Amino acid sequence: MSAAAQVEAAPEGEVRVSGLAKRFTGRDGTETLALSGIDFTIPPGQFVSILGPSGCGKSTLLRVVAGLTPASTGGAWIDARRVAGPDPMVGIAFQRPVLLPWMTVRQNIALPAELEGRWSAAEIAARVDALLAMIRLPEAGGRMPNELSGGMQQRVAIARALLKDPGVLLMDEPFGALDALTREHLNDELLAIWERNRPTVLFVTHDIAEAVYLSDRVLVMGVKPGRIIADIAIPLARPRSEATRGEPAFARIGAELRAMIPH
Amino acid sequence: MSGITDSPATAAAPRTRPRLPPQVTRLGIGVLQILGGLAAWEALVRWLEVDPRIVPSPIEVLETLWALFLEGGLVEATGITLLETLGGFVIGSVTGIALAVLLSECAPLRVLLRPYIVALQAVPKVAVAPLFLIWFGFGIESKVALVISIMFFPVLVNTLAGLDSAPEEQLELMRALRATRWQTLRRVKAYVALPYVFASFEVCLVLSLTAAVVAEMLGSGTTVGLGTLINIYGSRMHSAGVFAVLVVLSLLGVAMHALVVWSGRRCLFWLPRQG
Repeated sequence: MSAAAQVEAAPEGEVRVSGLAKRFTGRDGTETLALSGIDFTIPPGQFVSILGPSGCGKSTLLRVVAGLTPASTGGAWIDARRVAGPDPMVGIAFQRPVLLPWMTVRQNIALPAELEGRWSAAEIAARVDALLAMIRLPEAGGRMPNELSGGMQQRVAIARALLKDPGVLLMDEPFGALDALTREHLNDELLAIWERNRPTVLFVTHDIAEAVYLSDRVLVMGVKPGRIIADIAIPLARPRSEATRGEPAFARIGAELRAMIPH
Repeated sequence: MSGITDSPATAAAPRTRPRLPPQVTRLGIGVLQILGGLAAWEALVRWLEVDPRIVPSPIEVLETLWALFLEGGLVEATGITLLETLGGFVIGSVTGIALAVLLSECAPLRVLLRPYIVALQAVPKVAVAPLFLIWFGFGIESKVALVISIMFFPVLVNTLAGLDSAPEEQLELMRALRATRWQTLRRVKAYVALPYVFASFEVCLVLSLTAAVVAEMLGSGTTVGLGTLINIYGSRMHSAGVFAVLVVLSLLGVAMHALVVWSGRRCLFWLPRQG
């Protein structure tokens, strides 16, 4: 049996953050408390957005869960494994696509598997083909990243994050740099992709409409120090579509969230 | 351009001349430039009645070049100088790149070696040539050694700067994908550094040719390179001979530079084309 096809202890994809604080020490020795007293648990398969103003530490929180930044106190757990570094069952998409410009689209998507070295070439090829179809760029495999638009590049980056079919997907404002129309379009695509396997998603954004549209639940963050000030369930029916944006509940929840966010 | 010249051949009016492809036009201009320069040189030498022992006419230079070529000595000398230059170029680049990788991966070593690198880099390499003659003799080895010393530091310093310039976001991506150090080096840093490496090649290749010639001029008992020929013709007041060797050196330099630029374009395929 091939390595990639093996089921490794059925990852559930539960994300738990407990007693988390993060302090940064500045050059002059002063300490800044970036995050304080963060506690939450995300059950497997839930789509959760972290919503907050810029500078509230939401990206830092995501980076701690991703294992890219150590916590000062407390920490993050994924399926009872304490996060001490990047986890193989976690996919991540950054604010910028970060595609390697000397690789084709296909090679970029395949990168996580190439690095892992346990996949056969045929397995990788089949998986990349499926992902290219999923992000609606079936013909783009041989193109170079700088030939693609910003939206297309971000779709490729998401395909790369999904390559290993991760149980947990971490996304740090992946559509923040895109125009409003492209963003709404990619929101729909992301939901369609998510519906297939329903990984746990932790999605950082500062866009209220985006958070409401995508999520089962929104964690609202406050500033100084960065902390969670509200945990709001989004009861909108799935699958969501353009019609969802017109529902009265959509506007009402959006207004509630807007009132909570500090300025 | 007007629509007339761009219209299909069948519809073209008889007064429009067929257009040459741009490569042919460019080549023609280049040839005319060279011929024009040579003609001016010839005219000046005749008009001012310059002593051919001081500045020979281009025709004399070409005659001498042809004679030396037939005699075989020039071809052999060119081969030797080329061997020294390319040998030193390859060895100097490979060791420079290797040390750059080692220093970029091992910070303590970098701190330890930095003062030595700064000090050695500041030494004019040509001043070391007599030492190389003492250590490696009057054969090819001492010339290769000087070329290596010319190549080594620019390649080292440039490669190091290139390896250091890997964007933090790409390094973070590799960390998130649990890449090993070697994988990050091979799949990210190497590509980021490559334009820097080629920039140093472009600068150093002509310098390395200079180094080979200078080393030959400073002392070559057993092998005759182009620098040795310049010494011989110079001591005989044979200006046309010196000029003939200079022509060969210029052609070598231009050819090697073109080769580096061409291979740089091939290797840096993902960068947008400039010019």
